[in-house]
Amino acid sequence: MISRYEAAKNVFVDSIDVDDYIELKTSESVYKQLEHSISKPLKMILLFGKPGTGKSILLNRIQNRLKHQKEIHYFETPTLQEKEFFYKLFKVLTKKELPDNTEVNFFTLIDFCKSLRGKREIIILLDEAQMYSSEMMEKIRLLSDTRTIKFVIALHKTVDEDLIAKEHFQTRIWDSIELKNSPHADLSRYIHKKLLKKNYFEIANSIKNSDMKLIHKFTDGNFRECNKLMYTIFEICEYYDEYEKSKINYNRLPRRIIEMAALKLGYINV
Amino acid sequence: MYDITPLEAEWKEYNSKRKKPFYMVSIIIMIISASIYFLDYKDLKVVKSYYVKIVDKLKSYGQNDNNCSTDNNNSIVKKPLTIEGSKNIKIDNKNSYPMDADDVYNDEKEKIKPKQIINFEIKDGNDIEVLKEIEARFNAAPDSDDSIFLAQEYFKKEDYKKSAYWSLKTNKINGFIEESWIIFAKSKVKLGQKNEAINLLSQYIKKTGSEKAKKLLKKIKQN
Repeated sequence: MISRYEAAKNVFVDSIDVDDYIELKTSESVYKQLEHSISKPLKMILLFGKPGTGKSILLNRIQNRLKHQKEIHYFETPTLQEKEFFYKLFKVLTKKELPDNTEVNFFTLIDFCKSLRGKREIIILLDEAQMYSSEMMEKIRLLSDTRTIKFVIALHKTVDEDLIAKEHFQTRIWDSIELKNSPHADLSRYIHKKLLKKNYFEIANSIKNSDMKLIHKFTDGNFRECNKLMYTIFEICEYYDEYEKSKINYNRLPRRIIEMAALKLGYINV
Repeated sequence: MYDITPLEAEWKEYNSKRKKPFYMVSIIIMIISASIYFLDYKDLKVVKSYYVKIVDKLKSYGQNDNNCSTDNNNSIVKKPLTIEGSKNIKIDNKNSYPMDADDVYNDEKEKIKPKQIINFEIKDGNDIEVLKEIEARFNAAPDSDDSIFLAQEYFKKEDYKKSAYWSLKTNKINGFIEESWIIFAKSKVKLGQKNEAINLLSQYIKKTGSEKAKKLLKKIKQN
């Protein structure tokens, strides 16, 4: 039988699984914004934010929600090779496998897309788009110009990546949505809801508001960092639960453990 | 599961470093508080000692000249006083009340302001209005301090009938005020009621064994 803390720890394993999605006020408003943007006749939509602000799970969720209404596809892993990317795209457009020893001709693909205009509207959700090369991005732009494919480009928000965005897409019809780190109240809800979703009521209750504030302080409201911290916290709790029960308070998550986890992850230093 | 001991050690170090500023601030606050406390205490002691001196002097002044009375708590009774023949009062630096304490305690001029503590209202000894005022006050709220004061004042004015009356009033309120019995006996003698005075004093001596009363009784008996 796994210990309660081991189970709680696994709740915070970073994932983009839709089942793990937690509805929060801020994320819900971003979701609605994105859904609305997709419904507009835009060629490209930029979704940007710091790593860990929930871009991937948002794309995943929107794909999951709209998949029965629209032709929507989620390109999770960036395809660094052009060849592979066009192969994937060919499969989406034609719903067929590419014959062996053949390559997709980009201009033929553009023509094919043009031929589909008005007949189909395909939405491609491109995650981690900052990893695509400039050339690739330029081709993506040309594809979007056919108005058959609508791209949702998810980018990390850094100076360089902003430059890429500016260079390639500034002149296009844009809608940009920014994802930000969550405020304290949202992060609190996120942690509690995650635990309650898996029925860990006691553990959820043992994390008090002051603990949440401390967690928010260490993670700056970033979901990925929060997941890492919570995972480490429960990992330490798991150890104490198994070997040194006197050092753990089941009714109240000790501040010491939060700080130990923060030390381990380098949020604070001696 | 990883080894938690180094992490615990790291946390202990972190915790002690984090608390260091708090300890420092606490120590500084304690030092400042202690300094303030001791400085204040020292000042208080100085003030208190002067206050005690002043009260002692007032007491002695009151006892010597019967012009100032104090209550049981040594606090100054704020009432108008009549100093009769004030010109004849000999100012003795050791025993008399320093009318201006600043002259005596120049170095503590700012800290001690006896004028603010003692509310003397010096009236002319012949001002009968004052006595009437006190009589009215007594009638409204009988107080042995007022009646003994009136007895003393009327005795000084040689109005022995009134001094006997007010000392009797005092005795009815409080039968253990020596001064009242003495004035009463003296007044009776002055009124020619020597036997009555002897009887009263003898009774009082039996009750209290007062030395002052004994001396007076002896004096009366010897004429």
